[in-house]
Amino acid sequence: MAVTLSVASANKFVNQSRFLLQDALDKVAAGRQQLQNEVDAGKLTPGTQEFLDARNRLVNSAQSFADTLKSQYDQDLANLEQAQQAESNNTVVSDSTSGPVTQSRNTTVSPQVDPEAQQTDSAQANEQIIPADQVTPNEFQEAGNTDGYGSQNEVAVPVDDIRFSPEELDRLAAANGVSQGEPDIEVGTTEAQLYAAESDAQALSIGAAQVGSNNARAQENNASQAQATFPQNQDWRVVLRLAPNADYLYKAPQAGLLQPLKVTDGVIFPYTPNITTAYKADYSAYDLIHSNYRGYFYKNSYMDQITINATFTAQSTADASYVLAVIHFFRSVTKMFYGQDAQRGSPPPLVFLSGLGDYQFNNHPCLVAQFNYKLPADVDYISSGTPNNLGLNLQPLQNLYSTTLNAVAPTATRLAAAFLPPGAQNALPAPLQQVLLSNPTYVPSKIDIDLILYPVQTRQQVSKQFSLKNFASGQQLKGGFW
Amino acid sequence: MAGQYSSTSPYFLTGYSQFFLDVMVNRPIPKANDDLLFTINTTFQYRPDLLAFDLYGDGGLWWVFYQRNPNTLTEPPMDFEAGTSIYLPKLATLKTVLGF
Repeated sequence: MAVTLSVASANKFVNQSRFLLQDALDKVAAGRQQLQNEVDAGKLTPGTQEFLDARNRLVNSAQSFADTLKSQYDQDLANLEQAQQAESNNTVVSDSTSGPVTQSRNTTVSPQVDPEAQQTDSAQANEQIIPADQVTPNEFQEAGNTDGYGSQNEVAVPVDDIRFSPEELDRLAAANGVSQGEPDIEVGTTEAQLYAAESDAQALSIGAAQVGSNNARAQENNASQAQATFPQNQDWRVVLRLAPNADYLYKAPQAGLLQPLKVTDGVIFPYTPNITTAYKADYSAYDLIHSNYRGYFYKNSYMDQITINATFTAQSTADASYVLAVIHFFRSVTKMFYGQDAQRGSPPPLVFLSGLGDYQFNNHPCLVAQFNYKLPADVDYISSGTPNNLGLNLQPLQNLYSTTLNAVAPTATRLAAAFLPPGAQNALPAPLQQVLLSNPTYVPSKIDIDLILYPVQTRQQVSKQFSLKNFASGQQLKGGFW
Repeated sequence: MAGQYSSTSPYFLTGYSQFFLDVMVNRPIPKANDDLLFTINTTFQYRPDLLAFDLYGDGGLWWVFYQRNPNTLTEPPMDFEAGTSIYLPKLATLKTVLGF
């Protein structure tokens, strides 16, 4: 029987058939279990007429369901053949007994239109022709389907490889250590089908278990990310920020000098910084007596410190305020909560490094171990957070406008353009009014800072979430694993 | 006689008879340390009323700028020029002093 069949359709058909068979298997297994339960409960005694009747009912039910399944199977196959005949871009497959199998994708090309293409196609086909009876499911997988299901590659396979004949199913059942039939249920080849399906179902269940396990692991990772509730990183600039639910430093209600960092939610490095990372594996060496080579014992692996060299510039009061905030943030983030703090006793806060895309730094937790900055003498200095040349402190007012004014109204627009608050009410906190407006602070127009960060992973993350497989696939980079 | 003008008017305290306005009684605006220093821009040039409207919601309060900056602003409104720095009294201060 010559059938025109594409692999995509064939795979779909095979999968559908597998599920039908699995469904049948489940029904038969349920019937068996029910029969066994009745025997265990003492309602039925093996060998009695009542028991035989019950068993026959089960067999008849299985036979009936098998017949239904077979008719549905034939109908699906007929529909599939009709659908395949309607496709113009088909792969021609021959029967296993009647001809070769062409493993190339045979796109119909008219020789009159493109003889060269036809020649090339024919040559390719000749090179890859293999006898159909030599095509096995393994070869079918090797031909481009790594999983054997749902591949995008259209590789021709004989339909007999797809349609389980009773003999093949018996072989498959035997290969899986399942007998071809039990004496109490005599459903012939259908039973063998069911057993073959059982082996497939086991494989499916194992695969499903693996998928479930992976999903659970991925869910843990997602949960870990959800716990952090970080905003999606739309910006690939490098940024160092506090935890989302933090209420300290620049996330405090009265952030003071750190107020500019609140707008950007962390320290955004305006210029691409130099970031040095080191992943290390430690081995202990052992030296054998009278040996030409040294041996090594594996000890552990770890992520060494991260070094960041960054440049900040300031060309306006707003920039200077930001630079000052950055400097003060890193000064502050190296200190612990102490004395009058509500969180006194807590160590310096954790920071999260992001930037350069999801698979570089994606909310990676770390500690600021060292902060170095040098105030150069050969650059201009600019006042920060102070009245500008016109006598106005622009940045706090801009912040105020961003939150309080409706810029659509003409009045608000005019006031915003003049950096004036409504009512001329100076909304700056009193300390800022005194400090910022009267005591200018100067920052260099160009400054380089150095940071040393320690990567941090919690014990729970290490024990319950880490997987080298997931890490290697890049999945856990998104979860903030160093 | 007072009371013929609203409390936001510079003539609120000035006497008024049936036929004429009495000698003006000044209404000084006190200085506060946190008054905003504002450099007039082109938007509000020659328009103290517009600035008063935007700031206080009442264009009739244009004169408070002159009262608050008597040494800078003397000839309304043509000396309300862009580039001139003046102090802006706060609305709370005006409400307290003027009583509106």
